[in-house]
Amino acid sequence: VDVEQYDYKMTSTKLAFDLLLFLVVLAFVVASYQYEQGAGTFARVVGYPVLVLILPMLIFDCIKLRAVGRRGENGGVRRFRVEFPLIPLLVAALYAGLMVVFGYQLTTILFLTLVPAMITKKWRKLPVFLVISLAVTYLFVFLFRLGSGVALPSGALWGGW
Amino acid sequence: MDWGAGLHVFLSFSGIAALLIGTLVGLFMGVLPGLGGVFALTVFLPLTFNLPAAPSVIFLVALHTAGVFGGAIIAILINTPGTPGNIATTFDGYPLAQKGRAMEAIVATGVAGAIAGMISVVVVILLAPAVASFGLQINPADYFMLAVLGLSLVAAAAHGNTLAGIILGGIGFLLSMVGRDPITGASRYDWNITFLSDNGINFTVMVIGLFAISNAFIMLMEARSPQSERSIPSVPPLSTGIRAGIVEVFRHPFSVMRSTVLGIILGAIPGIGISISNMVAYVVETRFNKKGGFGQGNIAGPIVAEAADNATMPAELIPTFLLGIPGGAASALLLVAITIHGLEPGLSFFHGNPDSAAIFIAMFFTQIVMAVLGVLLSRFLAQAVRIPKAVLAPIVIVLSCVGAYAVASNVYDVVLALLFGVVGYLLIRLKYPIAPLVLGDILGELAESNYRRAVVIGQANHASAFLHPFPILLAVISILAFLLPIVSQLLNLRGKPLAGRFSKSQS
Repeated sequence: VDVEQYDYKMTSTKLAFDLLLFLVVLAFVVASYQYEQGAGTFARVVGYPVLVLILPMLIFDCIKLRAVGRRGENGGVRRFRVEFPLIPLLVAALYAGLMVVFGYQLTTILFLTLVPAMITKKWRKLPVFLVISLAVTYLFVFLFRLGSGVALPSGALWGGW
Repeated sequence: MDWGAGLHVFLSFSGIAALLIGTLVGLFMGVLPGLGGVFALTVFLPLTFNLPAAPSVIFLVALHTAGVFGGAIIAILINTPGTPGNIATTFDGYPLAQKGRAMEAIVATGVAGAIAGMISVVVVILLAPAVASFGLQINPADYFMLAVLGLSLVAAAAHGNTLAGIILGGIGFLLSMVGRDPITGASRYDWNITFLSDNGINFTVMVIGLFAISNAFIMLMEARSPQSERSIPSVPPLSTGIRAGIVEVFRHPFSVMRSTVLGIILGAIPGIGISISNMVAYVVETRFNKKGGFGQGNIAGPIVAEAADNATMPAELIPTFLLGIPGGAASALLLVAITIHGLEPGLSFFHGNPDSAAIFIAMFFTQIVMAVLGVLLSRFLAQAVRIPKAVLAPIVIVLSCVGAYAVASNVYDVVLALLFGVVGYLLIRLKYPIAPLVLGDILGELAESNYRRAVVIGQANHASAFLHPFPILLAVISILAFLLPIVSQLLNLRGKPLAGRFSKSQS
């Protein structure tokens, strides 16, 4: 593993994330001006100091990125690369998408069968994962009805059993 | 407090069942490294919405307490703390296991933890009326500054990342404003998204995403590595250590008492929690214990660490149940649990309410049930580490999404929880503290409504609203709590070469 490349990538990610935090807070502060005195004041009381605190973090991130980039054999600044949370986003999108289309039960069975197989690439174990998914799905249905009492979501294409 | 009626509620079928099931599930969750107490609370809280108040809260309290002991069992057996509160337990617990004294260490930590936990519950009950009376005397300006102080202490406790902690706490404050204005009821900060203007960002949904789903994503990423599966630790039979474990606890009475007192004091301070108290108790023990041999299998190490954990957990509920100001993520979730079930924090929580009495009685007996079941089932619980992360992580995601849906029967909450899961994943990867964001969100409404009331009382004059001795004192403590870790961090950095600083901070 190229430790320095990893170091550089994580520093870039931190800079990008801190910038995102800055923009989120800025959005709240800007939006606060469209509300009346009471509803908008508190966002500014909190938002402005937070913006002021993020600035040194951003500056420190930039200095750090420069220092990490210049370290190493070549001594040249590396490509700005961030660690994009691709797999978490894909898994989240897969679950949310399946849920909207198929509802809770079928989604859970599909998700618990396919995701372990995809992650481990052990496709021969699909029947084992299917058995686990069926058991877990109906255990959760039981727990959910016992504890929460509301109906589980049904999908656009599948109403559930 | 009506102890007779409370005992009646506790001894009902649902009360006892909640205690036993909560303890069993907590022990199981605790032994799975990376999950544990807060995670278990997060996932199971929404599943208790339809149950009566006392069994729900008893279940959650048992779940949390047993989760930490489950974490201690696995810390001793495989040198991996189940929760952040079990780190100090590994220092001497694992060397003891290597010497074939694992069961003795598990029994000793269980007994010491139970004794400390029971003492702590009694202290909380004795202190409660005085703290609750204090709560009645404080005005909106004081409440606002108490919320700010709570957040500062939590941010200050974020080891080496205080600045990020305070920033995330502030963002938590801002996120709590999304949705309906608590005073006028008008919708705000919704960016024209109907779901946000109607529901806002529900605290439980946010916590499910940040704590449970994010950890599942981390597990999924780890599962892709071929070395992710663990071998089963060997656990000696029960008979080898039960007597010796109990004897060891009674050989160290001062150590147990010292760590109990430390745990209670540290627990009552917002932001400290078990992750710090167990380390402090361990360090203090190394100073006082003349036998030495710490790190090589001194049984006093795991004893004091777990005693401090169990003393800290009930003490954390002092500011939570009495002032409505939680000291950490776990106590914030318990605060949500009691309010959802119609129990209000404050003096009323302690007066004439059999459910509250039942909760405290259950908290006391959980300590014994946890120790007994944990010791008896430790051989079986050790098998849980075999569950592959690739199987466990999707189950966690599904259970978390079901929990998020249960909050308001809304699919958008599931999407929101998944989004917070991705945010939590990034926060963990970047080593940012999550607790201040969560605390900021739950304290946000309390802080804002009291801030606005204080300004109204002060006739729109901030000086007359906040320039009183008590709010000023709280403000000074908040600023010091925030600044001291940063100053000490900067002082530690002095003298280190620039490149060395960066490589260390990212390693």
